[in-house]
Amino acid sequence: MAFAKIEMTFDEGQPFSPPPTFRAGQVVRGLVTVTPNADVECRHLWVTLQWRTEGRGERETGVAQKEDIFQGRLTNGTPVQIPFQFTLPQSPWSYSGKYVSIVWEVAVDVDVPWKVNPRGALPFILTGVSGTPASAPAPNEAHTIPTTPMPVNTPPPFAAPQKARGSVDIVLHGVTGSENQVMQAMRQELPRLSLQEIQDIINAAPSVLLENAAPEDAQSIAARLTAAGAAIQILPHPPEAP
Amino acid sequence: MSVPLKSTKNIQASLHLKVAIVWLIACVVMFIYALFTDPLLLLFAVPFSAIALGFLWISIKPFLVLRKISPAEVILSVDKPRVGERFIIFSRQTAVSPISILDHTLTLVFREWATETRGTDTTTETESTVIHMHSYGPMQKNTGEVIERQWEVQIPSDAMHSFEGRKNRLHWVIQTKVTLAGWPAYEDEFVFMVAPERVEE
Repeated sequence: MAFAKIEMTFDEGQPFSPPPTFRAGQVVRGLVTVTPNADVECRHLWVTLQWRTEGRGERETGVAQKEDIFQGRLTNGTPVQIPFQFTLPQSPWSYSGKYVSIVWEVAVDVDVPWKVNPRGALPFILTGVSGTPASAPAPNEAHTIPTTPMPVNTPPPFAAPQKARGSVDIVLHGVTGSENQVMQAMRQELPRLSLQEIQDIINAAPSVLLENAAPEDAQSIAARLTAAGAAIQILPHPPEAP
Repeated sequence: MSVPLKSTKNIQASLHLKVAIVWLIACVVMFIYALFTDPLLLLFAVPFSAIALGFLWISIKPFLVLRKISPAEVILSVDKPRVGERFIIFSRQTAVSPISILDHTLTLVFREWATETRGTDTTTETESTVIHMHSYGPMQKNTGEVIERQWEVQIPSDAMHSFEGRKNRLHWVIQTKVTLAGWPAYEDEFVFMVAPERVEE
Protein backbone atom coordinates (compact mmCIF):
# COMPACT_ATOMS: atom_id res chain seq x y z
CA MET A 1 0.00 0.00 0.00
CA ALA A 2 1.50 3.29 -1.04
CA PHE A 3 1.96 5.64 1.88
CA ALA A 4 1.78 8.77 -0.20
CA LYS A 5 -0.20 10.29 -2.99
CA ILE A 6 1.98 11.68 -5.73
CA GLU A 7 0.74 14.27 -8.17
CA MET A 8 2.84 15.63 -11.00
CA THR A 9 2.20 18.41 -13.44
CA PHE A 10 4.15 20.22 -16.10
CA ASP A 11 3.97 23.99 -16.14
CA GLU A 12 2.69 23.59 -19.70
CA GLY A 13 0.01 21.08 -20.44
CA GLN A 14 -2.89 19.66 -18.52
CA PRO A 15 -3.04 16.36 -16.74
CA PHE A 16 -5.06 13.54 -18.33
CA SER A 17 -5.25 15.28 -21.66
CA PRO A 18 -3.05 13.98 -24.47
CA PRO A 19 0.55 14.10 -23.20
CA PRO A 20 2.19 17.50 -23.71
CA THR A 21 4.65 17.84 -26.56
CA PHE A 22 8.09 19.32 -25.98
CA ARG A 23 10.91 19.94 -28.41
CA ALA A 24 14.45 18.69 -28.15
CA GLY A 25 16.61 21.16 -26.25
CA GLN A 26 13.59 22.78 -24.58
CA VAL A 27 13.59 23.41 -20.83
CA VAL A 28 10.60 21.79 -19.11
CA ARG A 29 9.46 22.71 -15.66
CA GLY A 30 6.95 21.04 -13.43
CA LEU A 31 5.80 20.38 -9.93
CA VAL A 32 5.73 17.24 -7.80
CA THR A 33 3.26 17.19 -4.94
CA VAL A 34 3.70 14.46 -2.35
CA THR A 35 0.94 14.04 0.22
CA PRO A 36 1.89 11.36 2.77
CA ASN A 37 -0.66 9.49 4.83
CA ALA A 38 1.87 8.78 7.59
CA ASP A 39 4.84 10.52 9.15
CA VAL A 40 7.92 9.25 7.43
CA GLU A 41 11.54 10.12 6.77
CA CYS A 42 12.21 10.60 3.06
CA ARG A 43 15.80 9.62 2.29
CA HIS A 44 15.63 10.76 -1.32
CA LEU A 45 13.03 12.03 -3.72
CA TRP A 46 14.40 11.09 -7.10
CA VAL A 47 13.05 12.79 -10.18
CA THR A 48 14.23 11.11 -13.35
CA LEU A 49 13.98 12.20 -16.95
CA GLN A 50 13.94 8.90 -18.82
CA TRP A 51 12.74 7.05 -21.91
CA ARG A 52 11.66 3.47 -22.35
CA THR A 53 10.80 1.28 -25.28
CA GLU A 54 7.44 -0.42 -25.62
CA GLY A 55 6.13 -2.91 -28.10
CA ARG A 56 7.16 -6.37 -29.21
CA GLY A 57 10.81 -6.25 -28.20
CA GLU A 58 12.26 -6.47 -24.73
CA ARG A 59 11.95 -3.25 -22.78
CA GLU A 60 14.94 -0.94 -22.79
CA THR A 61 15.31 2.21 -20.79
CA GLY A 62 17.60 5.19 -20.82
CA VAL A 63 18.08 7.83 -18.15
CA ALA A 64 18.81 11.31 -19.42
CA GLN A 65 18.93 13.08 -16.05
CA LYS A 66 18.31 12.12 -12.46
CA GLU A 67 18.06 14.50 -9.54
CA ASP A 68 17.51 14.18 -5.84
CA ILE A 69 15.18 17.10 -5.17
CA PHE A 70 14.12 16.50 -1.58
CA GLN A 71 15.39 14.92 1.60
CA GLY A 72 13.72 15.21 4.96
CA ARG A 73 10.65 14.53 7.00
CA LEU A 74 7.22 14.13 5.43
CA THR A 75 4.31 14.80 7.76
CA ASN A 76 1.00 12.98 7.59
CA GLY A 77 -1.52 14.87 5.47
CA THR A 78 0.80 17.79 4.72
CA PRO A 79 1.47 18.11 1.01
CA VAL A 80 5.01 18.93 -0.03
CA GLN A 81 5.45 20.68 -3.35
CA ILE A 82 8.80 20.48 -5.08
CA PRO A 83 9.50 22.01 -8.48
CA PHE A 84 11.68 20.25 -11.05
CA GLN A 85 13.35 21.41 -14.21
CA PHE A 86 15.07 19.54 -17.03
CA THR A 87 16.66 20.45 -20.33
CA LEU A 88 15.46 17.89 -22.84
CA PRO A 89 18.08 15.97 -24.82
CA GLN A 90 18.30 15.87 -28.63
CA SER A 91 17.27 12.23 -28.93
CA PRO A 92 15.74 9.70 -29.03
CA TRP A 93 12.47 11.32 -30.01
CA SER A 94 9.19 9.81 -28.94
CA TYR A 95 8.07 7.31 -31.52
CA SER A 96 5.01 5.17 -32.03
CA GLY A 97 5.40 2.29 -34.46
CA LYS A 98 4.11 -1.21 -35.06
CA TYR A 99 6.71 -3.16 -33.09
CA VAL A 100 8.73 -0.42 -31.42
CA SER A 101 7.60 2.64 -29.50
CA ILE A 102 9.69 5.09 -27.52
CA VAL A 103 8.01 6.76 -24.56
CA TRP A 104 9.48 9.65 -22.57
CA GLU A 105 8.46 10.38 -19.01
CA VAL A 106 9.43 12.21 -15.85
CA ALA A 107 9.39 9.60 -13.10
CA VAL A 108 9.30 10.18 -9.35
CA ASP A 109 10.58 7.70 -6.78
CA VAL A 110 10.23 8.50 -3.08
CA ASP A 111 12.89 6.54 -1.22
CA VAL A 112 11.64 5.70 2.27
CA PRO A 113 13.12 3.21 4.74
CA TRP A 114 11.27 -0.07 5.34
CA LYS A 115 8.44 0.69 2.96
CA VAL A 116 7.66 0.20 -0.69
CA ASN A 117 8.76 3.34 -2.49
CA PRO A 118 5.79 5.26 -3.89
CA ARG A 119 6.32 6.02 -7.55
CA GLY A 120 4.70 8.16 -10.18
CA ALA A 121 5.35 9.00 -13.80
CA LEU A 122 4.30 11.76 -16.14
CA PRO A 123 4.71 10.92 -19.82
CA PHE A 124 5.30 13.50 -22.52
CA ILE A 125 6.19 13.56 -26.20
CA LEU A 126 9.67 14.60 -27.28
CA THR A 127 9.89 15.86 -30.85
CA GLY A 128 12.47 17.47 -33.06
CA VAL A 129 12.58 21.16 -33.83
CA SER A 130 9.61 20.89 -36.19
CA GLY A 131 7.43 19.79 -33.31
CA THR A 132 5.91 16.94 -35.30
CA PRO A 133 5.81 13.68 -33.32
CA ALA A 134 7.73 10.97 -35.19
CA SER A 135 5.83 7.95 -36.37
CA ALA A 136 6.26 5.16 -38.86
CA PRO A 137 6.49 7.12 -42.09
CA ALA A 138 4.07 6.86 -45.00
CA PRO A 139 2.80 4.63 -46.56
CA ASN A 140 2.28 2.95 -43.22
CA GLU A 141 0.45 5.99 -41.93
CA ALA A 142 -2.47 3.68 -41.13
CA HIS A 143 -0.79 2.41 -37.96
CA THR A 144 -2.31 4.97 -35.69
CA ILE A 145 -2.96 2.98 -32.53
CA PRO A 146 -1.59 5.29 -29.85
CA THR A 147 1.02 3.55 -27.76
CA THR A 148 2.17 6.67 -26.00
CA PRO A 149 0.48 6.58 -22.64
CA MET A 150 -1.38 9.44 -21.09
CA PRO A 151 -0.06 11.20 -17.96
CA VAL A 152 -0.17 9.15 -14.84
CA ASN A 153 -0.18 10.20 -11.25
CA THR A 154 -0.02 7.80 -8.39
CA PRO A 155 -3.70 7.25 -7.87
CA PRO A 156 -5.91 7.41 -4.86
CA PRO A 157 -7.27 3.92 -4.11
CA PHE A 158 -10.03 3.09 -6.54
CA ALA A 159 -13.50 3.16 -5.11
CA ALA A 160 -16.35 1.29 -6.68
CA PRO A 161 -18.39 3.83 -8.62
CA GLN A 162 -21.61 4.92 -7.02
CA LYS A 163 -24.71 4.73 -9.13
CA ALA A 164 -25.66 8.33 -8.56
CA ARG A 165 -22.25 9.59 -9.75
CA GLY A 166 -21.88 7.28 -12.70
CA SER A 167 -22.29 8.50 -16.24
CA VAL A 168 -19.57 7.02 -18.43
CA ASP A 169 -18.38 3.61 -19.64
CA ILE A 170 -14.76 2.55 -20.07
CA VAL A 171 -14.22 0.54 -23.24
CA LEU A 172 -11.13 -1.55 -23.89
CA HIS A 173 -10.23 -1.53 -27.58
CA GLY A 174 -7.17 -3.73 -27.38
CA VAL A 175 -3.66 -4.04 -26.06
CA THR A 176 -0.92 -2.04 -27.71
CA GLY A 177 1.89 -2.98 -25.36
CA SER A 178 2.63 -5.88 -23.05
CA GLU A 179 -0.45 -7.92 -22.22
CA ASN A 180 1.00 -8.88 -18.84
CA GLN A 181 1.32 -5.25 -17.82
CA VAL A 182 -2.22 -4.50 -18.90
CA MET A 183 -3.50 -7.48 -16.92
CA GLN A 184 -1.61 -6.35 -13.84
CA ALA A 185 -2.92 -2.82 -14.20
CA MET A 186 -6.48 -4.09 -14.65
CA ARG A 187 -6.10 -6.31 -11.61
CA GLN A 188 -5.07 -3.26 -9.57
CA GLU A 189 -7.78 -1.01 -10.93
CA LEU A 190 -10.60 -3.57 -10.86
CA PRO A 191 -9.81 -5.94 -7.99
CA ARG A 192 -13.26 -7.54 -8.17
CA LEU A 193 -12.31 -9.16 -11.49
CA SER A 194 -10.49 -12.49 -11.54
CA LEU A 195 -7.51 -13.04 -13.82
CA GLN A 196 -9.65 -15.27 -16.04
CA GLU A 197 -12.29 -12.57 -16.35
CA ILE A 198 -9.61 -10.03 -17.23
CA GLN A 199 -8.19 -12.35 -19.85
CA ASP A 200 -11.68 -12.86 -21.29
CA ILE A 201 -12.23 -9.10 -21.48
CA ILE A 202 -8.92 -8.64 -23.31
CA ASN A 203 -9.72 -11.46 -25.72
CA ALA A 204 -13.17 -10.04 -26.39
CA ALA A 205 -11.91 -6.48 -27.06
CA PRO A 206 -13.48 -4.14 -27.92
CA SER A 207 -15.43 -4.72 -24.73
CA VAL A 208 -16.84 -2.67 -21.88
CA LEU A 209 -14.47 -2.73 -18.93
CA LEU A 210 -16.44 -0.66 -16.48
CA GLU A 211 -19.99 0.60 -16.76
CA ASN A 212 -21.59 3.67 -15.28
CA ALA A 213 -18.44 5.06 -13.67
CA ALA A 214 -17.91 8.58 -12.39
CA PRO A 215 -16.13 10.63 -15.08
CA GLU A 216 -13.21 11.62 -12.83
CA ASP A 217 -12.65 8.00 -11.72
CA ALA A 218 -12.97 6.76 -15.28
CA GLN A 219 -10.44 9.28 -16.52
CA SER A 220 -7.82 8.33 -13.96
CA ILE A 221 -8.40 4.59 -14.49
CA ALA A 222 -8.20 5.08 -18.25
CA ALA A 223 -4.96 7.02 -17.89
CA ARG A 224 -3.34 4.31 -15.81
CA LEU A 225 -4.50 1.51 -18.10
CA THR A 226 -3.32 3.46 -21.14
CA ALA A 227 0.05 3.90 -19.48
CA ALA A 228 0.20 0.13 -19.04
CA GLY A 229 -0.40 -0.37 -22.76
CA ALA A 230 -4.17 -0.62 -23.18
CA ALA A 231 -6.15 1.20 -25.85
CA ILE A 232 -8.99 2.74 -23.86
CA GLN A 233 -11.95 4.90 -24.78
CA ILE A 234 -14.36 6.64 -22.45
CA LEU A 235 -17.93 6.81 -23.75
CA PRO A 236 -21.03 8.38 -22.23
CA HIS A 237 -23.15 5.77 -20.48
CA PRO A 238 -26.34 5.20 -22.48
CA PRO A 239 -29.46 6.35 -20.61
CA GLU A 240 -31.40 3.51 -19.06
CA ALA A 241 -34.86 2.76 -20.32
CA PRO A 242 -37.59 3.93 -17.92
CA MET B 1 31.01 12.78 -49.47
CA SER B 2 31.06 10.01 -46.90
CA VAL B 3 32.67 6.58 -46.88
CA PRO B 4 31.01 3.60 -48.63
CA LEU B 5 28.26 1.97 -46.60
CA LYS B 6 28.68 -1.57 -45.36
CA SER B 7 26.65 -4.33 -46.95
CA THR B 8 24.51 -6.43 -44.63
CA LYS B 9 23.46 -9.12 -47.11
CA ASN B 10 26.98 -10.51 -47.48
CA ILE B 11 27.11 -11.23 -43.75
CA GLN B 12 23.79 -13.09 -43.99
CA ALA B 13 24.95 -15.05 -47.03
CA SER B 14 28.14 -16.14 -45.22
CA LEU B 15 26.06 -17.37 -42.30
CA HIS B 16 23.72 -19.28 -44.62
CA LEU B 17 26.71 -20.88 -46.31
CA LYS B 18 28.12 -22.10 -43.00
CA VAL B 19 24.76 -23.61 -42.03
CA ALA B 20 24.44 -25.25 -45.44
CA ILE B 21 27.91 -26.82 -45.19
CA VAL B 22 27.27 -28.22 -41.70
CA TRP B 23 23.87 -29.55 -42.82
CA LEU B 24 25.37 -31.12 -45.92
CA ILE B 25 28.10 -32.88 -43.92
CA ALA B 26 25.40 -34.27 -41.61
CA CYS B 27 23.49 -35.55 -44.64
CA VAL B 28 26.54 -37.28 -46.09
CA VAL B 29 27.18 -39.00 -42.74
CA MET B 30 23.51 -40.05 -42.63
CA PHE B 31 23.71 -41.45 -46.17
CA ILE B 32 26.83 -43.50 -45.44
CA TYR B 33 25.35 -44.80 -42.20
CA ALA B 34 22.09 -45.72 -43.95
CA LEU B 35 23.87 -47.59 -46.76
CA PHE B 36 25.86 -49.73 -44.35
CA THR B 37 23.18 -50.37 -41.71
CA ASP B 38 19.54 -49.91 -42.59
CA PRO B 39 18.58 -48.77 -46.12
CA LEU B 40 15.21 -47.63 -44.72
CA LEU B 41 17.06 -44.71 -43.16
CA LEU B 42 17.52 -43.40 -46.68
CA LEU B 43 13.88 -42.31 -46.50
CA PHE B 44 14.95 -39.80 -43.86
CA ALA B 45 18.21 -38.92 -45.55
CA VAL B 46 16.59 -37.86 -48.83
CA PRO B 47 14.42 -35.01 -47.46
CA PHE B 48 17.31 -33.91 -45.25
CA SER B 49 19.52 -33.70 -48.31
CA ALA B 50 16.88 -31.73 -50.19
CA ILE B 51 16.84 -29.16 -47.39
CA ALA B 52 20.64 -29.04 -47.42
CA LEU B 53 20.70 -28.42 -51.15
CA GLY B 54 18.07 -25.71 -50.76
CA PHE B 55 20.21 -24.00 -48.13
CA LEU B 56 23.24 -24.36 -50.34
CA TRP B 57 21.44 -22.74 -53.27
CA ILE B 58 20.23 -19.83 -51.13
CA SER B 59 23.71 -19.25 -49.74
CA ILE B 60 25.58 -19.66 -53.01
CA LYS B 61 23.22 -17.50 -55.06
CA PRO B 62 24.58 -14.14 -53.83
CA PHE B 63 28.14 -15.29 -54.54
CA LEU B 64 27.19 -16.83 -57.89
CA VAL B 65 25.87 -13.55 -59.25
CA LEU B 66 29.20 -11.90 -58.40
CA ARG B 67 30.59 -13.73 -61.45
CA LYS B 68 28.47 -11.36 -63.54
CA ILE B 69 28.40 -8.11 -61.58
CA SER B 70 30.61 -6.67 -58.83
CA PRO B 71 29.25 -5.91 -55.33
CA ALA B 72 27.42 -2.59 -55.11
CA GLU B 73 29.28 0.35 -53.64
CA VAL B 74 26.86 2.81 -52.07
CA ILE B 75 27.97 6.24 -50.88
CA LEU B 76 25.90 9.08 -49.45
CA SER B 77 26.54 12.75 -50.22
CA VAL B 78 26.44 13.52 -46.50
CA ASP B 79 27.97 11.54 -43.70
CA LYS B 80 24.84 11.33 -41.56
CA PRO B 81 21.69 12.79 -43.13
CA ARG B 82 19.25 14.48 -40.80
CA VAL B 83 15.49 14.11 -40.63
CA GLY B 84 13.99 16.26 -43.38
CA GLU B 85 17.32 16.61 -45.18
CA ARG B 86 17.75 16.10 -48.91
CA PHE B 87 20.81 14.14 -50.00
CA ILE B 88 22.17 12.08 -52.87
CA ILE B 89 22.77 8.35 -52.96
CA PHE B 90 25.60 7.26 -55.26
CA SER B 91 25.55 3.64 -56.36
CA ARG B 92 28.29 2.01 -58.42
CA GLN B 93 28.76 -1.49 -59.82
CA THR B 94 30.91 -2.97 -62.55
CA ALA B 95 29.98 -5.65 -65.05
CA VAL B 96 32.38 -8.58 -64.57
CA SER B 97 31.25 -10.16 -67.84
CA PRO B 98 28.73 -9.11 -70.49
CA ILE B 99 25.30 -8.85 -68.90
CA SER B 100 21.76 -8.04 -69.80
CA ILE B 101 20.12 -6.08 -67.00
CA LEU B 102 16.34 -6.32 -66.95
CA ASP B 103 15.84 -3.94 -64.08
CA HIS B 104 17.83 -2.04 -61.46
CA THR B 105 15.94 -0.80 -58.42
CA LEU B 106 17.08 1.39 -55.54
CA THR B 107 14.77 1.56 -52.54
CA LEU B 108 14.84 3.70 -49.40
CA VAL B 109 13.34 1.75 -46.52
CA PHE B 110 12.55 2.51 -42.88
CA ARG B 111 12.62 -0.61 -40.72
CA GLU B 112 11.50 -1.43 -37.20
CA TRP B 113 13.35 -4.30 -35.57
CA ALA B 114 12.33 -5.80 -32.22
CA THR B 115 13.74 -8.86 -30.49
CA GLU B 116 12.17 -10.72 -27.61
CA THR B 117 13.63 -13.61 -25.65
CA ARG B 118 11.36 -15.96 -23.70
CA GLY B 119 13.25 -18.77 -22.09
CA THR B 120 15.39 -20.23 -24.84
CA ASP B 121 13.27 -18.84 -27.68
CA THR B 122 14.35 -15.62 -29.33
CA THR B 123 12.02 -14.08 -31.86
CA THR B 124 12.68 -11.05 -34.00
CA GLU B 125 9.96 -9.06 -35.69
CA THR B 126 10.64 -6.56 -38.43
CA GLU B 127 8.40 -4.12 -40.20
CA SER B 128 9.75 -2.45 -43.32
CA THR B 129 8.19 0.60 -44.89
CA VAL B 130 9.21 1.62 -48.39
CA ILE B 131 9.68 5.39 -48.42
CA HIS B 132 10.98 5.90 -51.96
CA MET B 133 11.72 3.55 -54.82
CA HIS B 134 13.44 4.28 -58.08
CA SER B 135 13.63 1.84 -60.96
CA TYR B 136 16.00 2.04 -63.93
CA GLY B 137 15.09 0.30 -67.14
CA PRO B 138 16.75 -2.56 -69.03
CA MET B 139 20.25 -2.18 -70.50
CA GLN B 140 23.21 -4.13 -71.84
CA LYS B 141 26.69 -3.83 -70.30
CA ASN B 142 30.00 -5.22 -71.52
CA THR B 143 32.85 -6.45 -69.38
CA GLY B 144 34.36 -3.64 -67.30
CA GLU B 145 31.56 -1.18 -67.95
CA VAL B 146 30.40 0.71 -64.88
CA ILE B 147 26.79 1.13 -63.80
CA GLU B 148 26.59 4.41 -61.89
CA ARG B 149 23.47 5.89 -60.34
CA GLN B 150 22.80 9.16 -58.57
CA TRP B 151 19.53 9.38 -56.73
CA GLU B 152 18.35 12.40 -54.78
CA VAL B 153 16.10 11.52 -51.87
CA GLN B 154 14.71 13.21 -48.81
CA ILE B 155 14.09 11.80 -45.36
CA PRO B 156 10.49 12.86 -44.61
CA SER B 157 10.37 15.70 -42.09
CA ASP B 158 7.89 13.81 -39.89
CA ALA B 159 9.96 10.63 -39.92
CA MET B 160 12.00 9.19 -37.07
CA HIS B 161 15.77 9.28 -36.81
CA SER B 162 17.78 6.06 -36.46
CA PHE B 163 17.63 4.38 -33.08
CA GLU B 164 20.01 1.65 -32.01
CA GLY B 165 19.01 -0.23 -28.87
CA ARG B 166 20.10 -3.70 -27.86
CA LYS B 167 16.72 -5.27 -28.58
CA ASN B 168 14.85 -2.49 -30.37
CA ARG B 169 16.11 -0.75 -33.47
CA LEU B 170 14.88 1.75 -35.99
CA HIS B 171 16.96 1.55 -39.13
CA TRP B 172 17.17 3.42 -42.40
CA VAL B 173 18.18 1.12 -45.22
CA ILE B 174 19.06 1.43 -48.89
CA GLN B 175 18.17 -1.69 -50.84
CA THR B 176 19.57 -2.36 -54.29
CA LYS B 177 18.36 -5.06 -56.65
CA VAL B 178 19.72 -5.83 -60.10
CA THR B 179 17.65 -8.32 -62.07
CA LEU B 180 19.77 -10.09 -64.68
CA ALA B 181 18.56 -12.15 -67.62
CA GLY B 182 19.27 -15.84 -66.99
CA TRP B 183 20.99 -15.27 -63.64
CA PRO B 184 19.88 -14.87 -60.06
CA ALA B 185 19.14 -11.29 -59.07
CA TYR B 186 21.79 -9.32 -57.23
CA GLU B 187 20.32 -8.01 -53.96
CA ASP B 188 22.00 -6.06 -51.21
CA GLU B 189 21.16 -3.82 -48.28
CA PHE B 190 23.01 -0.92 -46.71
CA VAL B 191 22.08 0.46 -43.32
CA PHE B 192 22.87 4.11 -42.68
CA MET B 193 22.33 6.50 -39.81
CA VAL B 194 19.77 9.28 -39.89
CA ALA B 195 20.39 11.89 -37.21
CA PRO B 196 17.77 14.06 -35.51
CA GLU B 197 17.29 17.41 -37.17
CA ARG B 198 19.69 20.14 -36.16
CA VAL B 199 18.64 22.24 -33.19
CA GLU B 200 19.26 25.94 -33.66
CA GLU B 201 21.19 27.35 -30.73
